[in-house]
Amino acid sequence: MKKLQMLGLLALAAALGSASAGGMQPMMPMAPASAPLSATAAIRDAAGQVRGSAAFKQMGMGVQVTVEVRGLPPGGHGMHVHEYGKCTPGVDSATNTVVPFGGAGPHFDPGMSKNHDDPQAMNKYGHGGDLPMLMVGADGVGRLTFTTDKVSLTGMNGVLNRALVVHAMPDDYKTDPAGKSGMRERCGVIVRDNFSVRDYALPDHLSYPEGLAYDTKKGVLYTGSASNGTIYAVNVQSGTVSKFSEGGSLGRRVALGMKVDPQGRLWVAGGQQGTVSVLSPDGMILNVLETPKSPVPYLNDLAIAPGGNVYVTDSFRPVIYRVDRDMNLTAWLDLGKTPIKYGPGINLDGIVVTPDGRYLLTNQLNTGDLWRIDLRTRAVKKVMGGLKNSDGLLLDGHTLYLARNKDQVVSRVNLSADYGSGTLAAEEPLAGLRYPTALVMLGNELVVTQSQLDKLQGGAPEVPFKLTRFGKF
Amino acid sequence: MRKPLLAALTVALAGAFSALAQTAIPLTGPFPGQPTPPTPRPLPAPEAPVTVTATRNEPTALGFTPDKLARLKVPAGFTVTVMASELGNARSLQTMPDGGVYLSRTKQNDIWYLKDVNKDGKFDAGERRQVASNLSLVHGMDVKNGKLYAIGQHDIWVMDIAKDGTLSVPRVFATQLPDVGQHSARGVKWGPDGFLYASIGSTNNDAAPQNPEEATILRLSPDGKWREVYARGLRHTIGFGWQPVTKTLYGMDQGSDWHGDNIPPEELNVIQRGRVYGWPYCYGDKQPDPYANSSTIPGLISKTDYCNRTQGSLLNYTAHAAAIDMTFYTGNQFPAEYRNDAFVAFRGSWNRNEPSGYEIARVDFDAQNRPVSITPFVSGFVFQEQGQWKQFGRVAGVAVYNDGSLLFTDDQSGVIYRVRSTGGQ
Repeated sequence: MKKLQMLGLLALAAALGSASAGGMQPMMPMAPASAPLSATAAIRDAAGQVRGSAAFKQMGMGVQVTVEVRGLPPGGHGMHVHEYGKCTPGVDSATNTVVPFGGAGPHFDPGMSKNHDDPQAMNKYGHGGDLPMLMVGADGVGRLTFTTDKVSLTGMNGVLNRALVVHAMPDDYKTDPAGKSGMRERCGVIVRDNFSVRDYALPDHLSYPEGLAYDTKKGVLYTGSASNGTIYAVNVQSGTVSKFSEGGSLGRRVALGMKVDPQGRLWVAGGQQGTVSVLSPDGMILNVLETPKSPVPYLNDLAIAPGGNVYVTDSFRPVIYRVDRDMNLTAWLDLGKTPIKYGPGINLDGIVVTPDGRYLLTNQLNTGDLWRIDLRTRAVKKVMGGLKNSDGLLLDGHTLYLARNKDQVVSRVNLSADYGSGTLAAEEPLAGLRYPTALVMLGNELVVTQSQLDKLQGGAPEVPFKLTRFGKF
Repeated sequence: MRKPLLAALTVALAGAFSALAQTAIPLTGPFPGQPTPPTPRPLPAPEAPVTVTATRNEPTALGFTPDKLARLKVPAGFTVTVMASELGNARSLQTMPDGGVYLSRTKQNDIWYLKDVNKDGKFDAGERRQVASNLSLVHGMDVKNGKLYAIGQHDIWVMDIAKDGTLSVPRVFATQLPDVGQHSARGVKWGPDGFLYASIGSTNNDAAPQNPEEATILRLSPDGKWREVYARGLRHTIGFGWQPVTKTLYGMDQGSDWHGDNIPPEELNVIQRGRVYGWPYCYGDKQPDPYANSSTIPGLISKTDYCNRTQGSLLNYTAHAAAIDMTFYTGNQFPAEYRNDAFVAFRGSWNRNEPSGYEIARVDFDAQNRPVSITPFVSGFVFQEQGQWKQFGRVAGVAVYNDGSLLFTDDQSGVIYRVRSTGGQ
């Protein structure tokens, strides 16, 4: 009964050309992006003809959406944001057949609700992409303006480079998976206004690129699969991708954080295998170093200090490992005796060395804390908090960039002269990011992985997997 | 329903040869297949049902007796003799320049040293010695710098070779190899690039591997400590080697059982670093195998999409012939046209209506050192008698003897055969 009343209310609101939707999503306050956040979707029919448009404007933590679609039968039409930024034919799982706009995938569901609901539901109870339906008049035109905080142009609910889909039928706001709204009639990819990036597409559907390293001399980016350990070499000029090292051999079944050393060797953190591999410049394994046997190793990232020592984070075991120049791996710092307290989830993750070789900076993903560790005294100082879901780090002078995986942004932190304190200055969703995990610097630009690691837990990844190059901000 | 593959003995597949060129030390290569990856599906791609007719036909095994030699067929100008019999599970051969021969016996887990000291053309009882034992499922062997390397169940071992052929106590060179499952036979060879290569079969017939080192060629560092997956999707490549002129790596792969008389064919592959060769979903020139279970394809892409990204075979051979060893002919005794060709031991089928294999075959390389055909060289081990199929030899190892003749083993009756060229004599 309640549903019906609300339907009526929305229909009325739609008729008036304005509505509000959204369920007051609890969200972390975000720093501003480097440019105002707005986006546009050119809405096409299955033949590819543009038959309308949608404009998205960031309003605080929510978004104002203005939609106009032409050429549809009069009545209600379900309207949703779908997971993938693709308006191509694709497989509908209900029938396991290819349907128009199936490439847009299922409804965008940042709260992992696995439930279709009404446009007022909180994202943890219903798909974030469940928008109010579009009412089309006798002239075949549907117009709707509304604001919602179920979606955003940045952060966890970010819809940049996802698709807005208009269905054939009204949305009942309850039936899974799409409220009985029928076929997908219109689709538009939500593209950020006035913002350009360069994507490097990876050729493998199992790439899940977690780590990233750059060999300046060769002009080659290395990235590796968190799913099978295969490492790819990407020419930064041409974008050509080669397989650098097939994954799968003993100790090389997962590739996470990686760095290139001055000799051109590639160091790779081996995640749940508890290994660190060192590869020659032609991709042959030179060494696989093992940490003590354990059911829960998680070697996540590593940093090469001036002088050649390599420091490795373990996200489950409270230890920082060090590999010396003779490739001896030892437990360098027992974190149990420091202020860094390990809890459930991913703990220490990214790690960098300051250019003066004095400190390590490392972030704790589950608490959002950034730590500074003195390489001489091993003293630990908390730099700042509020950086949850930070994965890989990149230090550029006193500017720290953080890949915020679940938050789908790259954050910029300005650090003090002694790296002992910092302030969050900006958060950039770029043109839309999918679980960014690592960063490297190419002169005045940065490259970030779009790992889609969340898709290893279920759902299909969007292909191609991408590395995204963008200007510093 | 898919039409069965024609049962032609050899099928030369079209393919650009220049694309197969490979350096001795392959660096990063292009990614195989299209640059754009196929889209992972939410559920396995639907496929129409297919029914297979499969036959188990194990020809009656007959012990070797000298009178059966007359049944063997070789090309004109060649003759076959027997150097030894009743050697047990005689599998791989490693010949030495001084005429010594190492023989691995997989079921007996040991290595023997044979040397025809009195030059009577036989390895007499006094010319045979067990030189290593307790080597679980030992199979392939190779020699480098006075050391014998051998591969078995979970390890590669290394042994020092004494002047008289005696071996030192084996040391573990590499370990933690995947379980053997149903494919215990493995090969090991030093490559022209100074790395050691090992062929690791699948544990099962046609299901996705559990261990990513299964169904691969591994490439090991010179100290044996670490290794990479050099190529994958090879169900059971045992014998492999580098063509002596081009240094291109070739291997013969055994296709799946129970998929019918002609699917999948046995494959001759050019093995390139980082490539995927299709098993268990594809065979031959990227053909989807209609009988492979598509729901296990990594990433749930369609079988056709998967196969398009694999490396096809260069030549095919009759299904189920079961290649074991492969060796390049580098001797001088045979006519010049045989030089740098390969010989393959096809142990013989048990899963085909009309038996295949049970022969030594020749892979003919043309003047440009490209393989053009696979044809029987020594055959006649399998025959029909009063409507019944019978066989008296399961051939396994093949090697070039120090005088340029060809040796091969029968692991059923423990025979070592020798093929000599008599042409022009």
